[in-house]
Amino acid sequence: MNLFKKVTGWSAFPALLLFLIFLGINGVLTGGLSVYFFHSFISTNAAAICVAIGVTATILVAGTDISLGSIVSLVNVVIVTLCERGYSVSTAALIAFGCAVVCGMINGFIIGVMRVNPLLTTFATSTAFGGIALWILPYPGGYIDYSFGDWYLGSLFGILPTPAVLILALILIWTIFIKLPFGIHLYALGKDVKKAYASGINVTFLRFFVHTFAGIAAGAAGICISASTCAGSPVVGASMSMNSIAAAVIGGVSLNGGIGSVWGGIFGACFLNILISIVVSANFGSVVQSFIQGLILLIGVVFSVIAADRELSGKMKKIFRGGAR
Amino acid sequence: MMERWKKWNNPYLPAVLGILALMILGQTVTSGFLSMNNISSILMTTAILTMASIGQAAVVISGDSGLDMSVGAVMSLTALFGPMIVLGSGMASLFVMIPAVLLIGGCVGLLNGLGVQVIKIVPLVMTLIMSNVVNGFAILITGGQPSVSVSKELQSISGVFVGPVRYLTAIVLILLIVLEIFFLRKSRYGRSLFLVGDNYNAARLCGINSKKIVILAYGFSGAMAGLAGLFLVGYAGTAQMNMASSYTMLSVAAVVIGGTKLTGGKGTFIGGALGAMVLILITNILQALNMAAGLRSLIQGLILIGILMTNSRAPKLRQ
Repeated sequence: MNLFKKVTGWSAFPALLLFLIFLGINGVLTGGLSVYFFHSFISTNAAAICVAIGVTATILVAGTDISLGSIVSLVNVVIVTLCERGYSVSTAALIAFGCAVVCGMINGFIIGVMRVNPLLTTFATSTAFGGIALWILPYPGGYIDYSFGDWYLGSLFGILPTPAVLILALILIWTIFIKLPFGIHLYALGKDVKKAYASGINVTFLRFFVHTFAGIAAGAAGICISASTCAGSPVVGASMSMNSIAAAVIGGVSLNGGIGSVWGGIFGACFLNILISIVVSANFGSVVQSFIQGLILLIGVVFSVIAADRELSGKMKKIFRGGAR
Repeated sequence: MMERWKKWNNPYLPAVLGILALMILGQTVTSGFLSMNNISSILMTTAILTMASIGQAAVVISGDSGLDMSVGAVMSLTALFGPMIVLGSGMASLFVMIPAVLLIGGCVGLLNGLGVQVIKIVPLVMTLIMSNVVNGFAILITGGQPSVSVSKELQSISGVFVGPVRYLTAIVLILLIVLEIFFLRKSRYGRSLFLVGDNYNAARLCGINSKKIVILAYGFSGAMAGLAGLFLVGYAGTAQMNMASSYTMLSVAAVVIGGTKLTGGKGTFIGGALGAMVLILITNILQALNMAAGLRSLIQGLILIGILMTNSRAPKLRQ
């Protein structure tokens, strides 16, 4: 019973539940859940999950980051261009990853050291990063050697698919930091900046670190999406930043900061993407699709916000109890 | 001396200096930048962005990290639907169009407000998702291929009124001043909006219905965005899907450059108009230089970062 309470009280629980329900619906619709399905699901959606991890990290300190989509596009464009200039795929991927980390550090510098509002900063930097991507590769095109795609679709030790390894690596880095004293500081900063500062927490460094981590996550996402498409596009990540914020909210991460965990972002992203694949496979016709997606997104967020609201759910419990008597 | 300095150090100052500097820069970079024709087109686009930023400013003033990210979506929606209203004469349909777009925008805005205040979804997320829904709705109705014919009467708003001022510019200027003085400064609602934005609970304890005030602010923002969408389609002459999506962040940036604090409780509509002018001048200069789209966007971003770093830094934590 105690364990049950602990699980249902977990901030990421509503998202996990939604994900599992819709996974079941998808299984019924498409006829069974196979290992192949999971493999393809994770390889198409690894990028979205990575971005959601990065955004969750920034939201936990009461910030946000809407430049991650542009960083993903930038990584994709850099990999394609370097490959066409004759660099090997792994060198190109590493250089592009380095670019993503630098982008994250720029965000972190402006937000942490210069103390500018995170939303506005990342809006400005997303214009800048997106501009660089568009400057390097004005039109979609180019191609990456298919060995990159093969590596991506392959698996480690024959069990773990490569995209899952990348995601797990990100989670591992984050978990290690959360377990250090550092992690507590992070949540404290998210709850109340002034009190955190008064308690001797290094606010500047924490903000810098969190945005750098978001940059790392976006770099991983860029590698994932480049490998799964094996082509270049300067706007490949455009819709990712907004969707990832919605994913984090569905995952029970409070935008006021300090509440939630990185798992919330992951399950939120999984739920959103399985939803999209259901809507696509249900043959609604492309015209209705975007409207239905928007509506379901709205319903999902409303549901998860109500579930997370202690006051409101308390009222509902009272109503149900009253009815039982 | 101190008094005089204080008088100068008002929130409009950075925007005004920016406008002057950009005009000089524009004239030195390309001759004919300050020609009558170019100025009038700059004023025109500024007027459209100003309409959007008026609504945005009201939401930002309402406080609690209020933001309306659905401005662009609402503008695109009314740009598509507004011209569809066709009555007997062109003038009559124009007079029905205006309340219609105000109503469409206002409804979307009120839904935003209800989501933010009643269900307590954070404004950023609520309005972002609402913009998804609105965009999806537009695609659903038009089937993704809008066929909108803009009537002559609607297009006539870009006709010359006097000198470089066209009809639309004049209309927006009058609206701006009327709204600033009689809506934001003098009206009962405007005063309560500032109070609520400054301190939500204190305002509630003083007998102001804070919830209603904030919800109405979102409704107002939606209505203004709706009107801006109609102006945009009248100016552009054709409508496309998502034609106004860039206006969302531009309106936020305009409001911030104009000296409105994102924490709420302070701000002006006129500041938003000045900020809009700065942004439009930047775009216009970069376009005049014939740059690649990517490079233009990069420079725009860098300038915006520069403005933010000088203009809207949070105070030091150590006090």
